[in-house]
Amino acid sequence: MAAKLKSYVLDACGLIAFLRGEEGGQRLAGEFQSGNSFYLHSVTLGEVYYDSIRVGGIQYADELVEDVLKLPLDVVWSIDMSLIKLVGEFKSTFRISYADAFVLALASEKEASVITTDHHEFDPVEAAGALQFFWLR
Amino acid sequence: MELRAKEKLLNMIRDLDPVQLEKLIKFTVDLKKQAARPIPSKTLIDSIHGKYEARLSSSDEFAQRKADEIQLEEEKWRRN
Repeated sequence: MAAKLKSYVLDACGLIAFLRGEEGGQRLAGEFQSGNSFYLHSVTLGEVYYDSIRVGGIQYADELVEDVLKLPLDVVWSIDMSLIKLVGEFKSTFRISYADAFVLALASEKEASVITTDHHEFDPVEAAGALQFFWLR
Repeated sequence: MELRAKEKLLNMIRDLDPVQLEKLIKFTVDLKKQAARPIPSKTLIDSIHGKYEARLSSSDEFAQRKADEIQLEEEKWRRN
């Protein structure tokens, strides 16, 4: 019997760890070949995009987005009321950024695990049993 | 076999309420997308992995800035 496919949602730190080749990024590179489902909300892509503009300039930032779109990720461009309700619930329950509330809301909607390196932000969410996490390091 | 599976599925979804049906539609859309998406070559993934080392803040720096922003926000909430 085939192994059950898993679903994952990436946060900005997880994506950055892969794009910069940081410790743990190799794990994500391997996972991308697993056939599992990976989701990235456009709000998260926007976070990485603005950081890239600041550090490397807009030309490289545009190239980065083109590369991200080649990865086996479904970029979620839409926002509907059911997602916004989840965003509001997560943002008001945990000490997290508004952008990361989108990560958690999408993971909740997709019944997915969150791929990240950001223990400071997400350890309390994991401890509360709200969602599952795939730690890159 | 395929026909029986489809029949079984139709019988199963008959009693679902609108909310459950909406969930099933979203799931089916994801399933179809997944089936249509080829797994990219290792070469492609390797060519992107690490490519932006000098063109992005580190994930630790990024996380720290975010933590600082949250701290500021919390302080404002406490003051009001």
